[in-house]
Amino acid sequence: MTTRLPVLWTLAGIAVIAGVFFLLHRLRVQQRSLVVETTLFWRQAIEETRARVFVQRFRHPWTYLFLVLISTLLWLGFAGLERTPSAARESLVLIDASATMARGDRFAATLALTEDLVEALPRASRTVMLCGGRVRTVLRPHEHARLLRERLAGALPEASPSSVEVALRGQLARKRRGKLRVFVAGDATLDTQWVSSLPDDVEVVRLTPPAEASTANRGITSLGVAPAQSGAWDKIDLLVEVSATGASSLTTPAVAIDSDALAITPERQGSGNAIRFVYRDVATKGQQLDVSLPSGDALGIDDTARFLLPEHRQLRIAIENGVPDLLTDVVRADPALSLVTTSPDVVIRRFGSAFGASAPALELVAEESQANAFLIQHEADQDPYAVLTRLHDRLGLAEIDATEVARRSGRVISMGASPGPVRGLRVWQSLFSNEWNFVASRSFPLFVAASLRWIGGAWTAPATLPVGRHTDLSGARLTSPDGHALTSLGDAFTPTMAGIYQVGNGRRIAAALLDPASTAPPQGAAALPNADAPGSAFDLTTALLLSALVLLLVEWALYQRGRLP
Amino acid sequence: MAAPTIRELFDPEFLASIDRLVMLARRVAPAGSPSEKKSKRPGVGMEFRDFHAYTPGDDFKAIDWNVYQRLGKVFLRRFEEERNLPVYIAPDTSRSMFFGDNPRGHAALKVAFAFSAIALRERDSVGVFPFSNSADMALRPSSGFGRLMRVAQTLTALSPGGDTDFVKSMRKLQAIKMREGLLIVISDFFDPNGIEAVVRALQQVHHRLLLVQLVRKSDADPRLEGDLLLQDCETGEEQNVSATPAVIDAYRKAYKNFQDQLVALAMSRHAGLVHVDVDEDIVDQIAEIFATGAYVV
Repeated sequence: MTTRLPVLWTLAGIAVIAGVFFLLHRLRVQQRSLVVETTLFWRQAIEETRARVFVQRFRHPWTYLFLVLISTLLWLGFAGLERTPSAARESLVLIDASATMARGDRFAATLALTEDLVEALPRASRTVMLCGGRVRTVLRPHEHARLLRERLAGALPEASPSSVEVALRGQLARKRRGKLRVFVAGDATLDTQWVSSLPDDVEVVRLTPPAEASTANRGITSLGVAPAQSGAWDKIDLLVEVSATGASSLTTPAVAIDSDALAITPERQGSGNAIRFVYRDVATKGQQLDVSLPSGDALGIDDTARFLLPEHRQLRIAIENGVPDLLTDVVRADPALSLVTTSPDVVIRRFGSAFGASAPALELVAEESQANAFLIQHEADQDPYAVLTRLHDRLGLAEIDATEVARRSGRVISMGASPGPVRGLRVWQSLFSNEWNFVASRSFPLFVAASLRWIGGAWTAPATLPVGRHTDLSGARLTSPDGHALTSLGDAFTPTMAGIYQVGNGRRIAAALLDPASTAPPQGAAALPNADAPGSAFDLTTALLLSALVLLLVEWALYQRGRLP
Repeated sequence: MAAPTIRELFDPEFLASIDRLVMLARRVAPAGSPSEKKSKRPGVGMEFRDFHAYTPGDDFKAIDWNVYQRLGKVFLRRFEEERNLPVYIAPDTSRSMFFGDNPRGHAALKVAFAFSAIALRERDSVGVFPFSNSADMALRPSSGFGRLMRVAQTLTALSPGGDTDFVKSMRKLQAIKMREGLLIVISDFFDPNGIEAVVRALQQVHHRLLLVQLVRKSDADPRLEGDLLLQDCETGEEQNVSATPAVIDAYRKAYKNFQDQLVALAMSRHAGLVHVDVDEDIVDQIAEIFATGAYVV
């Protein structure tokens, strides 16, 4: 047994009750005064009770016992006596606040069930987490259950996949010794195999309202772009996948670019419950693209999606005379790059030259002047290690045969990073000679194109992400759709809600639900046993009050029969 | 509480019931009044008592000459003198007798009046000797039914007050030179010194005794509950009482012991002991006593 009040408080309360009643029993009673014809027989009948004294003989042990018992039961009821879970079992309640809970009033019903459940759980060992786009702890052990109601006020399902399993995995990683009972409140699906492999001291049950009568739904489950098959560098091919369950029909989505309807007839691919609509040669300039389906199905949150088209802007490149022609040829071959002589975005020059002095530059440096074959100059607020790690892959350096280059050059091929006023990249000039195999490698054009794009600040990160999917956005500072300032930790950033994220450098990232599991819950999810209906168990407080009442009746009966004074 | 007036105490209905009581007493007791008794004093009555050797100065008319012829000695034949014993009415006038709404004192006065009426009708002399912690002669003993009104006036003129003290009262009563008679003690017998003091005091009385105990049902079975501070109306003594069942039982035992000792006293003194419930009709209860003969002393 445990109590909502601290144990010491509870015990102190019982001691105070017993002490007070003991004192009251010893206190001289306030008698009713009565004048009688004679006290002769009373004097003989009772032992003399001394007057004008503070205490008297302890005369009514049974009355005292009843009083202490009744008062103790009432005190324990007030203190919130609870059954101690066997073997110190902890309870973890995970409320599914994902998009799938937006069906009807399932979320509100689930919250109501959860609140009832939490009232019945031992206060000291239960934790409640709200699992929407991100996982939040909404009730910690020892906190009063009323706080949960306040903290969940206004909570709504979020346009995100379920994070219940993520939260559970995290909690299990931190789990201490003892049993854990997990209540999955809502429709979140868990991997069957993983659930079956959980340790024996972890029990997972589901707390869910009755199933909705109508489950017919359709939604946008995938949205993506690809370089235009036609080869136009400033156009993309757009793909929209629509899935349906139940009796819902698959209709062509409405597509708008910057609020103007897209006048392209899509190709339909696939059949059955998922149809892909492909829009060819969509001009891309970083516009906002909105896709929507007719509303009225079970889940409205997956009927719209917002997308930011890639910003395909030609980088203006100026090349200093004397730079190997090979570089000029690569620039000319790339339709995203244009050779200019004035106002360049990026210059290609030899190290130390005044050509385009203030512009970001790809510089060729003498081998003797620089220890590293590749030296990256990055913004001062960037972490050099993170920059090196990220650009090693992005610049295609992972693809070069560094061993062969090192063998032929007799030098160690290495990368370095240092902060500078503008972005830049210094590369040994000898790497561009035909003596070494770098220029002959297939990664060379990729290296040049990627380097120039990075130096010029051309956005290469995907402009649209499914909620909950990681993307490489190391160290970026962002503002979430609901106005919170975020900083991605490490190399990865995971959008937790649908909407437009503002990135520090003025660019934007769109996040959309795009979750097939939300649109059409998978049938193979783990079937969890249902939790007992909260409140069905006999309430201990009620039992205490009933016991007190019974004792009161017994005392009354004994009093009526003259067994108690 | 002051004694009631004559009209309050002896209303016409009560006086009529006394008349009926007197008639009943005469019918059921033809031999005489409750006080009728052969005197120990030899006299000129008709009933032979014994022989007595002649001494100079004896009435020669009492010499039994038949005895002289047979024995040659002179003896006197003595006869018992038939005389009516005086009746001494002794009502308790202590404070406890005049406490409450229906005090025992009123009943005591009615009882005293009733016995006075019966005695006076039988030509006995009746005197009134109220007592509490002392005793006084409020009305000198005298006979004649015409004195009944005088008795009533005397009873209603009594001043209640004082503690009950049987030892002092009976001692004072003994000090008043009166010939042997019937002493009717009308009291609750609640002497703060205990029933032992009552017994001791009455054992010393040389009169014949008729004890009239004024009782209430609550005396034997008190209806008290809870924690009480009881104050004795006479002594002012306070007593803390928790009226638990055990205490009530002990009270009943104490009261029974009190009653037992009173009965033992009556038996040892060949005295009558009459219980009169003050909450019931007084005359009816006395009439019932006469009807059953229980009054015989």
